[in-house]
Amino acid sequence: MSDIKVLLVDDEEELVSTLVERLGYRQIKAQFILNGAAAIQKMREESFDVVVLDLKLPGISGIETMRVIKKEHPLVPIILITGHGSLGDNQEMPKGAFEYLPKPIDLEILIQKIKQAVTVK
Amino acid sequence: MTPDDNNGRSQKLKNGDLAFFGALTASVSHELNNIISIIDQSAGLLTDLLAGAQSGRPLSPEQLERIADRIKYQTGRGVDFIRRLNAFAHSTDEPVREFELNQLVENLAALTVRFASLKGVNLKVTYSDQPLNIITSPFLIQQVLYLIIKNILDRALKNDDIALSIERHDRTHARLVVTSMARGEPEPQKAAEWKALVGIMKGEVFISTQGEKIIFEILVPGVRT
Repeated sequence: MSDIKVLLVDDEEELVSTLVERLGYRQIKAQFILNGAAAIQKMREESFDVVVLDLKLPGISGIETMRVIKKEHPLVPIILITGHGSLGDNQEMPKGAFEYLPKPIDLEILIQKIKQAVTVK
Repeated sequence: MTPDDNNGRSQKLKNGDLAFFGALTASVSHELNNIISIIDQSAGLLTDLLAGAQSGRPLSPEQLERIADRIKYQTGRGVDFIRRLNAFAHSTDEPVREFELNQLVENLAALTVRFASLKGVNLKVTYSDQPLNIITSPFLIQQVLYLIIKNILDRALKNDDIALSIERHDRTHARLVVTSMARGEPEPQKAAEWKALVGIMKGEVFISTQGEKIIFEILVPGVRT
């Protein structure tokens, strides 16, 4: 578990910095980035096993960020998170996403999904 | 403007009104979800730290203080959103009433700034020097401003600026001006919709270009002398 590297992408800095800290206590190395363009750049500079990406990001949207990351790093699984309570009746999980989690995030479920994503990869 | 001018609308909200109300409340609920998420994770972090302390890891007072400050700040942010959303919701209570225009626009700007920031656009509001008490429909003013700003955002590029100013135009009229980079003209039916909404308030909308800028000017009567 200690080898897993996760990139968290969300413009709510206090949320992602707290998640990084909590994941750290669980031996998961996480870093955070606050927007899509910086996340794309970070992925070009450093390798990550999983990306946890908010759908609503300033500038480049979460979906567009996912599209670019999947194109450049097709094997890296992406877990989408959203502030919308649920996907809604007629919505499907965006194509390319490994999983889709609503906020507030249950940390244990997030860790479970991260583990699954790394295993499937 | 009299209550009768807006009576039909107050009895049966039109689809566009509901779409505006829905978009704004959805945006605020998204913000509140973010705030709750931060408080939730902060509480989780406190639990983690306490569990660590029970297993012998030193507990840092500075870290606890930082987490407490974060919770306090986010609680205040949430209370502010709820207060603003409440004020917005009550803007439909009466079709026409007296209100202070700067306060209304300041509230709307705070609730809609997220739409701009998601596009990487800066929204700046300039308020009138003196209070502007006006008798008209607060809901219609907010709706038309939102629709214009949303229309600009649909075409805006990252780092564009939107300037919104409020001033007294003459003895009886308030003047609201929205200026941005011209990234194309609004569709004629949209402009017609804005003019119809402002027309209910017996006001007028003028759209013009000046160099690279597009200017939306809204004149609304009802200013108290």
